[in-house]
This record gives sequence, structure tokens and C-alpha cells, in this order.
Amino acid sequence: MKSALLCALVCVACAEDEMGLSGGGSAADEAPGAGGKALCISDDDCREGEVCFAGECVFQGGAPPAPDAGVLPEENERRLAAFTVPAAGREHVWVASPATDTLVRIHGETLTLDAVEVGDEPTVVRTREGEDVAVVLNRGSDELAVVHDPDDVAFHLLPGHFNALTLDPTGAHALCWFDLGQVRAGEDVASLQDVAVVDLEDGDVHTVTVGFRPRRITFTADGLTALVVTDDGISVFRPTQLSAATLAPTIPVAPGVFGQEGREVVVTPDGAYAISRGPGEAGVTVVELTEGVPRFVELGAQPTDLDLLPDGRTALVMLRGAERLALVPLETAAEAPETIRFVEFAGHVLGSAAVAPVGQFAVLYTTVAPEEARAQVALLELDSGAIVHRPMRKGVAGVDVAPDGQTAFVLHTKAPGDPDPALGEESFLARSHGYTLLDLRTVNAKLQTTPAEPSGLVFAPDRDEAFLVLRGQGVAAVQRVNLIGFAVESFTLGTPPEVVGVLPAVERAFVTQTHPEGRISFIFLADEVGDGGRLETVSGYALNGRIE
Amino acid sequence: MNRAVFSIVLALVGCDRDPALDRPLDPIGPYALADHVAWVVPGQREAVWLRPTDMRLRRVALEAVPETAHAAPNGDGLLVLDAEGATWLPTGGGARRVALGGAYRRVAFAPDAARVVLYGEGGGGRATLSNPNQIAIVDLESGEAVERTLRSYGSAPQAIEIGPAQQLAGADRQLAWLLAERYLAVLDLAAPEAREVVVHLVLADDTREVTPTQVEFAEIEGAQTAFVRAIGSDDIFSLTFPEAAGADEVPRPYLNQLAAARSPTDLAVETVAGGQRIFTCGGGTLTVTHPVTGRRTAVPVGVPASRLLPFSAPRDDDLVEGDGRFALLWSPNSKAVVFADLDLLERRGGRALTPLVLSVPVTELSPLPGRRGAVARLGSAGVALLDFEARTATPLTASGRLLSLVVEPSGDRLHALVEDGHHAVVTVDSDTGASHDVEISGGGALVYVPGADRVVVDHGAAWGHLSVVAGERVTELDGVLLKGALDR
Repeated sequence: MKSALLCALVCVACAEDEMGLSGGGSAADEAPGAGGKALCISDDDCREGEVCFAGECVFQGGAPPAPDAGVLPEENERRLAAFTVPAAGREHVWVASPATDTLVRIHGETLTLDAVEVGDEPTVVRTREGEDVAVVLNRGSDELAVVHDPDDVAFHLLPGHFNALTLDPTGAHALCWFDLGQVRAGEDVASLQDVAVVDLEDGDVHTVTVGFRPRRITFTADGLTALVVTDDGISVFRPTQLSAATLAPTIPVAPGVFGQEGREVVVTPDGAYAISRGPGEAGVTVVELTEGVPRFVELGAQPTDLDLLPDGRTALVMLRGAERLALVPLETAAEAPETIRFVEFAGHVLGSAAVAPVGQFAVLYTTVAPEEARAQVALLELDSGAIVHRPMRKGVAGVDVAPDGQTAFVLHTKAPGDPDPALGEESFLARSHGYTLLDLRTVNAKLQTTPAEPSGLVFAPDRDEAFLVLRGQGVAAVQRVNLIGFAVESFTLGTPPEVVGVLPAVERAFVTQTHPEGRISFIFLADEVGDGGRLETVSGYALNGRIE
Repeated sequence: MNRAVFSIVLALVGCDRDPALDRPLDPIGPYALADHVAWVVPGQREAVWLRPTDMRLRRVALEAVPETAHAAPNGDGLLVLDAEGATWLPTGGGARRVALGGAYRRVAFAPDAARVVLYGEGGGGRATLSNPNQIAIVDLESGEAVERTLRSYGSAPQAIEIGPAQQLAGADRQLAWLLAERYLAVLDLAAPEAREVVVHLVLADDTREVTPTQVEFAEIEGAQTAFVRAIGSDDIFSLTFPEAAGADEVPRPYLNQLAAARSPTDLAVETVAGGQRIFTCGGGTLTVTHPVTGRRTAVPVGVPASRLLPFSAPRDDDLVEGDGRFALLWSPNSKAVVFADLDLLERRGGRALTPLVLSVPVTELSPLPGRRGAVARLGSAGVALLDFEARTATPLTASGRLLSLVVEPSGDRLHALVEDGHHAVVTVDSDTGASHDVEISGGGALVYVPGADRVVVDHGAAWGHLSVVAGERVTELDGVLLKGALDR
């Protein structure tokens, strides 16, 4: 009792000090991780799953949940989205050219090109949301270049070697970190647990130590708090409130200390909750990030996929083996399991889900259907829990839902061999690449076969259009898709496409291509899909940096 | 007695002989220039001009022993290089001497022949250690010359192309494009001392050998553009100058690369029914590329085709106003010739191509302007008149060996030198195929002098032995290169 009282008096202050949050207002008190380590005398002074160690409460968790029935085969969801190499600003596309130590800026409308010298081996470029301000990580010279204009470049030396770059939503800070998945042979990996935070206005650079192996960085909705998903849990800090060197508190996301890595972790947009699933666990773990205590929620079967619904407070958990799904309210599930809603789909194999940030539907599917099962997707109406099934002409490899939640792209599998009409319709379709456009309201669908695997799907902001690339043996094309009438227009390219993106301000889509000296094509969005729209190509922009 | 007197006179004359008279004449030529034929005679240190219409001779003394001569492509004159400089000999008469520090072997003329760039071929200097990157920029009208050394990246200019004089990037300029392995350098001949701009065609760590070999100039949507074809690249390099620069500096180009035919072997920029297009042949295709959008259409040709010869001819439809644009596709020593309707190529693909396969390999091919036809030389066996409208190939077999062939620029007639025990100049009407021949006294170099409408055959004698053919009349001239009968 005495120790609990002691904790009550000092724990908030301690947490603030440890996080470097002193000086923050009430928002800081409510920030994720604010309920970090507490002082203690015995375990009784600590929260559930913590032990008192050297006067502080340290998370240990309980025994790992017993495996449900072995580990189920994972869903192998393939997304059409691609890693964005170029960065889209307002009117310009920015492309890093490591070979020439330049950043190339291409105006989408005039195709005017500027080559900006930015340091040694620029590899990652990001832009401030909707602005033509680029931030470049120079992997060779370990510095950050901020380019407002070709004649206005600011350089910031980094405290270590990094290969990944994330901007906060406000564009005020750049976070440089090391992504072990992108490591190259012989590369310096000393900064594996460091995040260098660069204040892009005043140039201050701070180092934050985070959990082991950062995998991605997200931010709370207000953009003020960084959430670093690591193999130790979620490390939390505020870029605006850093001292010279900061050890960020790391919040566990699994019920036990030995189960923190290899998990699928989803964080709510406001950073209030994280939910995760781990291999073999017959449920999910929910942690309220301000509290920092993970709680296991028993679901009776191994989840095979985890998504967040548009409300930001409910998780959709696919339980393929039990032929049902669970809608898990994050705020109440741990304390009141009866608030969890289960939706049955008996007799169907569905293990993955795709949910748009808005809308009232989720698309359910599986990538590991038995051979004899008819390919399908199912649509779940989120409010009522009603499910309708929609047979597909081909196996499903992945699903992307348009941001407005009205249309889904269903990416299909392909059987080995070339599509040959002489072998019959079924074989021809099975051997073809393709995708299906699915209207989530009417369940109308259109199968679009393609000469190569579709990839790199992007949706044009404020337009009912999407773009994807086709890249394969002898195939180089970009497709423009109308999401209302499902019209598809193909543009043949001279070289294999890589990444497609959109510049709304100048009504252009762009597609970068594999070319030794760099190639980018622009599609005029003012033309309607199918009107034989104009495509302009700029190549050799890497060489423009070598004109002397 | 008479013999003794003659011997004494001869001895006296011989004592005063100019040593130049004892050098071999070694004439260089003939060159057909407007209405003249010209030779340079190193042994006599002079240039000789003959006007075949009236057989009038003109001699121009040179200050130094000429080493090479280069005719302006437009026929405006002859540039003679020697060890100490260059002499410009306009076809209309006169001479302008330019002293130079380096020795040069190669010349690039501006299209209007107002300026030249001289460069070496492993030469460039009289010293043992030569500098192949030394060039001379010569203004032929003013006689001013600037000699300088280009920045080099391990190579040297292998060819130089000069664009038209024009308003460009904010000043009056005339750009020269110096083509070297892996890069090209751009000079402004209007500002000959301005530092050149170097455009690399590969990245620093790219080991490909990309060698620019052909430059074509065009105005594309208001932008003066140079299109460069390079061996080792599947792209055509497009260079424009969007930013203004001072008149005393070379503007910085903007480079774009346009997908073309695979390993393109020839390039043409043409205005066709759909607008301006780039045509390239290579990899078994004739490829059309939009110069702005980069949209590419590759049309399989089906026969070997490494050369592209565009020309104008009337269309049999109203697709365009005036003549249409066509091209011949062929490869030396291949039997096939393809007639391409460039106006329709994008729309009709392979249906815009008309192949003609001959029984004998083609060694030369000349389009006949104003006609949908061409003349094919079939080695020494003869020629064939190709009519793509009728899809016919009419062979004209030589009775002996066909030694040389010229087609008049108008395409109306062709002239052939044939040997069959004796020598004859055969003139063929391109439209009717009707021919007539005139016998001449020997073989040699055949040139057609367009301004005089004469065929001249130089029989190769050092003193100048010519046959001048006008219709069916032949005039033989002997000793035209000698100063006087007693000089030798």
C-alpha cells in the first residue's frame, strides 16, 4: 500500500523525465508511453505483467499463450502497392540519382529538369506533403540534404550511418534510421537502434535510442509523437521535445518478453492503441500505449490477418481455421471479452481482409485456398456483419481497396505456363496474369487479364482513377483505370516500368522506368480514360547531372 | 648544228628551272563545285578550276604545298590544308589564307560553309607528341581562326557536325557537336573562345562503349533540337537549350533520351502527316518515335535494313498538301530494298512498307527525288530502276563492267561509266529508262557538275586528261593541270 502510494506520487514525473517529455502540457501526459516505468518496492506496486526490479517496474509478461493447433500457414497477401523510389511533390517529381550524386527535379507539366548536387550517394528522397520541398538521405556521406530550390540546399551531418528516412506529417522533422532489411554487404550497421531526428527548420540533430531493429515509423494523428515499431515493441518519443540524446521508452506489444518479434502490429491512427498477433497465438494482444501494458485477448483460434476498421477503435481479426472473424473493440476487449463480435462464414476459407480507411465494407479472401475450392472474395458489411460471397474467375493473391472504400482491386494468381487459347478457356485464364475490379456496393466485377503481373497500384487523389504498371518479359506498360466505369487504358512504354505516382497539382501521373540513365513518363490526366491520352517521356535525367 | 644550239638552250633553261617543277604533280581531285571542276596540284602549289561549259581554266597559286583538300558540301568552295595553315578557295574566285599553329587532317563544314572546324586524326601538331584534342575554328569569311584544346575524358573527337547558324538560347549562335567515345562536346562557333560544354552519354560507372556517330537538327515545337544517334545505345539523345545564356558562353543543353530502334544504324527527323517524327532503323525494325512524347512504334521490316534514305514524292492520296515523305530502307550487299511511306507508317504499320527483292545484291542506292522510285547499283553488273508505285524493278545490265555511277540531284538522269573493251559514258532517263552512250578515251573518276550540267571523267593522268560529256558530244582535254607545255 505504501509503495503504491509512492508510485502514485512520482511515477508521472519519472515517466516524463525518461521520455524527455518534461515541459509538455496535458497532451504530453496523455501521449503514448506516458505511463512508462514506475518506481516500486515490490511486484505489488507494479501493473499486470510487470515485476519490480531495482526499484523500477519492468515488463516481463506472462507465459506465452498456448499454441492453438500448431502454427497455421500464413496468408501470403500480395499488395499491388510498390516501394516509392521517386517522391512526388506538388508540381515536381524528385528522383535521387546515386550514381551522379544528384537529386533530379522534374516538373510534371513543362518537363523542365534540374539536377541538384546533394552529396554522396543520395538514395532516399521524401517530400513534404503537397510541397515541392525534398529531403534526401545521402547514404554515402551520411548527411541529410533539404532542397527547397536547386539554389537553396541545406545540409545536415548525421550522427551515424542510416539507410531509411521518414518525415513527420507536419514536415518539420526528418527521422533517419537503419532498416536492416535494406542492408548492403559491408555496410556500417552500428546505428541499428538509433534514430537521428533532424529539425528541418533550425537544423538541430538529436539521436534517439529505440528498440531493436526498427521496422517502420508512424505518428499519432496530431503528428507530434513518433511510434517506432521494433522487435522489442513500440518505441515512443516526441521529436519536438528531445534532449541531446534520448532513450525512448519501448512499449511491449506481446503478452511475454520473448514474443515481441515477428509480429504483425497495427497502431491506431491516433496512437492510442496497438494490436498485434504472433505465430501460434490463439488471440490478439492489445496495448493501450499511454498505459503500456499488453493484454492478451483470447479468440479461440489463430488469427491469420489483422486490420483496423475505419473507426480506428475496432480491429478486424480473421480466424480462418474457425471459419469466422472477430471484430475486436480495442477499448473494451481485454476487460470485457463479451464486447467482441464474431461473424461466421462456415464452409468458406477466408483468412485475409482488406479494409479501406473509409467506407462500410471489408473484403475477405484467402491466398491459401485448397485447390478444389472455388476462388472467391467475400464482402463484409461492417455495421450489420452481413457477408456476401463473390466467385472469382481466378485465384486471389491480394486485395487493395480504393481510399473511398467503393472499389477493390483483386490481384490474381497465375498458373505456370503461357496462356494459350488453344488449351481451352479455363487453362487460358488460369495461365494469364490479371486483376478484377470489384464494385463493393453492387458486387459487379470485371476481370482484366494482363500480359504481365500488375503491380505498383496507386489511386489518384480526388479522382476516380488508379494506375498500375505491367512489367514482364517483353512487356512494359502502365494502365490507367477508371474506377466508375472500369475502363482500362494501356500505355506502352519503351522500357520496363518501376513506380507510378500522381501529381494532382499539374494533373499528371508519372511512371519511372528501368533505364541506365533514368526515364520517367508523364500521363495527362485532363484526358479521359480511353481517349488515347497523351504520354510524354523524359529520359537521361541522370546524365543531365553530368553535363559540365 | 641545230641540235647543238637546241641543247645549249635547253641546258640554259634547265639551269633556271624552278625546283617545284621537278616535284611530282600528284593532283588531288576532281571536285565538282557548283559549275566548276577543281583540282589541287601539290607539285605546282596551285589549285586549278575548270568551267566545263566553256572550258575556261583558272589557276590559283597557293602559299604552301597542299596536303589535303576538302570541298564544301554546298559547292561554295574548296578548303586546302597544308602543314602551316589552310587556304579557302571560293568557287567564285579568290583565296583566303589562314596561318595555323597545328596541322589538321579533317574538316567539318558549317551547312552554309561560312565556318569550319579543323581537327586531327591522331595529328593536331607537328611535334612528335601529338594532341588529337587540338582543334581550329576558322571563320572562312573573315579569315579569323582560334586554335584551342578541348577538355578530354580519354578520347578525342572522331567526327564533328555543325548545326545551322541561328538564334538560340538568347543569342546568335552556330553550335558544333564534337563526337567522342562516351561523350560529346558542344562549341559555339560564334563564340569560338567560349568554354565548351561536355555532355556525357553514359554514367561514370557505366562501362558501355557509347559512341555518337550521327547528328540531325530540327526545330521541335519551337525548340531547336539536336538528335544524336550513338553506337551502343538503343536511345536517340535529344538535346535542347531551354535556358538563355550569354553570347560569350556556350548554353547548357537539356538532354532527353528517346526510345528508338534496337541498336539503331540510321536516323532521320522528318515532318510527316502526323507531325514531326524521328525515324530509326535497326534490329529488324523501322521505328517511329514522337520527338516530344517519346511514344514509339516499331514496325518489323522483315529484310536487312541498316540505311534510311528519306525523300519527297507526290502522293496518290490527299493525306498531305504537296508532296509526301517516303524513305528507302536497305543494307549494302543485300538484295532487298524497302519503300516506306513515312506519312502512313504509324497508322498502317507494316502495310506502309513495300519490299522489292532483286536477284543481285545492291551496292548503292539513290532515291529519285519527286518520284516514288530509286536507282540501285548492282555492283559492277549494272543498275536497276525501282518503281515502287508499280512495284517493278527494271534492270539495266551493263555490257561490260560498271565502273561508277552518279545520279543527278534532280533525279532526272543517271550517268554511268562502263568498260567493255572500250569506255563509254551511259546516260539513262530515270523515267523512261531510255539511254544513250558516248565513247570516251578511257576510264577514271566520273563526276557530274550540276551547275554546268556536264559529266566530267578524269582519266587519272597527272597532267590532267579529261573527257567532258555534254549530251552526245565529248570534248577531250589534255594537260589541263600543267602550267605550260615546256614546264615538264
